[in-house]
Amino acid sequence: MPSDKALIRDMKKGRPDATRKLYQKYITDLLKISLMATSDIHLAQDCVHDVFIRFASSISRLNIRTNLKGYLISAVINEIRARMNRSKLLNPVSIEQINDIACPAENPQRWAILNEQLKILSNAMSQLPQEQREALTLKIEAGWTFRKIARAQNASISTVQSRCRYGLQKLRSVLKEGE
Amino acid sequence: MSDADEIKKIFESAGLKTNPQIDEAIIDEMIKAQKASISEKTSREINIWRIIIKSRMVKFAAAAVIIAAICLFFTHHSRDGQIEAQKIAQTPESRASVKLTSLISLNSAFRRGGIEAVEKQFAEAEKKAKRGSKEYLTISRLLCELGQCEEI
Repeated sequence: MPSDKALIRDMKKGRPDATRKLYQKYITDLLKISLMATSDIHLAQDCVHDVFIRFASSISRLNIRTNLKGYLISAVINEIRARMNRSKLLNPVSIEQINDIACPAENPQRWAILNEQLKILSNAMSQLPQEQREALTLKIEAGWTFRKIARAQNASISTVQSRCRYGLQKLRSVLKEGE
Repeated sequence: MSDADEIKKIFESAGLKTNPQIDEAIIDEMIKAQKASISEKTSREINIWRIIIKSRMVKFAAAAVIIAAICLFFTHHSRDGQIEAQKIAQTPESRASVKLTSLISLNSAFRRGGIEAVEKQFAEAEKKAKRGSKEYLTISRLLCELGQCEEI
């Protein structure tokens, strides 16, 4: 797979294969992060879709200095926050809904097909408050540092650390209850 | 194993696949957006050029900038030429030929470095003169020519 720099350069030249490669490189990670941070498959899909389209439509103006994955993750997280603020959509989805979404045979037009662990995890994550869910996702799934998460969440490092600690405890207890 | 490690393991094992049909549709949409972005950028650049062409003020300003740039280029270039000429003039060959042909150059050497500079130039000229003729120049004769003594 070519480097991010090469992909962006080729995209700026208008090469469609670069767009395809960039999409294939990051789609799974971004969808997973989005789903973890929202616990809502529809919202997760919409956010990732919008981020990709907006990224492509502003490619000629973009000047990314840091890594592309971090940029895209930040864009997805910001999109989730904006949408949640707009619609106050904080209701978690039920496990039945996730099962319904995850069944490709019954619903062939679904974009993301989750495995069993992801369904369980997503359902457990839906029990956490939004900030804890976001902090945990960025820490565990994206591998961000506490400092970086603190900057993204506009909070102190200790706040982020406690969000992750409480989030982990809660997640653990929810998963144990599920067993 | 700690709680965090256990949760990390669950995160790692959790995964998803995407529907290839929808992937294709999104990629197509992205390619369209990408093309639109690039063509928009090109038209923006053309618009800037149009603004320059249409606006009289901007046209004059652009012309002034171009003229200033040309002037600067020539000034810089001629200064470079002067420096180069000075360097060439300072080479022993050129110095010697000038010294042989003109008394003015000796006069200016005197002004620059006094009698020592004249003597030095004279010695070089003498060397050159020795090659061509048997009549030797002396410093006293030279000084006479410059009008600084009465007789040889």
